[in-house]
Amino acid sequence: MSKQPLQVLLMNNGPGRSRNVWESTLAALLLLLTAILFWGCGNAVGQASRSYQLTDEHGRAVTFPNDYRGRKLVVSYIYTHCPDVCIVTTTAIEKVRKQLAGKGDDVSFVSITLDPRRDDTTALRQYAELRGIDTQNWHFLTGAESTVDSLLDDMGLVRRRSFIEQNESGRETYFIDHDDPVVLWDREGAIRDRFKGTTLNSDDVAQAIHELP
Amino acid sequence: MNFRSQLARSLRLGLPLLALLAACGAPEQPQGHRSGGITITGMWGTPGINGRVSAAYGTIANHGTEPDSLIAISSPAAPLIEVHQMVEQEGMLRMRGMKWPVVIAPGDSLAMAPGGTHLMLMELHQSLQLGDSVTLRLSFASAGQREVRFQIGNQQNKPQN
Repeated sequence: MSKQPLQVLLMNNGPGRSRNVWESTLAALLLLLTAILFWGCGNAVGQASRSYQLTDEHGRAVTFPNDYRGRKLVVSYIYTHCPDVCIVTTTAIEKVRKQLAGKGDDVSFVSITLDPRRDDTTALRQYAELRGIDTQNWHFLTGAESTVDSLLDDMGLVRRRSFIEQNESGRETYFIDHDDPVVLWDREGAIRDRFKGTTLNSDDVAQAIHELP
Repeated sequence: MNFRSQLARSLRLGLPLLALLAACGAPEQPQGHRSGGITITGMWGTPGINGRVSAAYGTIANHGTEPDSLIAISSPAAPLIEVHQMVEQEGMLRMRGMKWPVVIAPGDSLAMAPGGTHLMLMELHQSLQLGDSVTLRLSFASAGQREVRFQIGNQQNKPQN
């Protein structure tokens, strides 16, 4: 009895019409599924696949990104042998931070080294101090080379060593070609937005941070 | 009034007037350091850690009628200084050294700014902090050697030199 309407439909309208009905139903289901996914995930564009044990510029242990859950997070990538690009990015982030002064108590800033081999906690602390950066809510993270490399791969960071030379004392010198993203994470650890560090507009970033729930 | 007192009065009034006219008529000195057709202006540098790197920016302009070439740069602050360019390739920002000599055509300039071309001071002898001064000696094929002194600052608050 319950199948009769469908049989009638098939009999009365032919196979082409019935295919349309099925396709419409499938499309509606897909739309519903998409809506459910968006409801659950907001506009997230990614997240870390796991947590990473790192160290900040004062030698304190940090579990990234878990330790920042509950706070909005601005993540950038630098290395202390970087003469130009990283400094442009760091300066732009400092501008964002100053712009948020008084309104950014729930925001943390994190700069992760691209060069864990050479960037120990001392180098990262000096990098911050030389630029007069207050590290109270801005952490410079390093860690074991394999851990940091895994994290950078997880975050999709494109990078490559270049200019590899040995100086007179035999010490290896190199620089790193790299992407320069500044990434905005929400309180749940989901990546919400991505900006380009070297052309960062502090107003845009401050606005995006402000709009995060 | 005799001739001597008239002369003395004329000199008292005339000499300062001449000096004033000479000062008004003196050619305007370009800002920065000028040698031959070369001027170096707006130099400033970024902080850097001992043994690591710092970048310096500014403009080297050739106002002459012939090309000139930057053939070497040295400084007491760092044993190695190169001119580098930043280019974007394959989704990465890549640094490339410019080959010596760096030729500057007449009427042209080498403009160095964050995110682009810069002087890279490598293996710093000591850390460079905000407010520190750095001296560079730049050697040009035609204009000869020029020395510039600039301050360490940051992009938001560039020191005026």
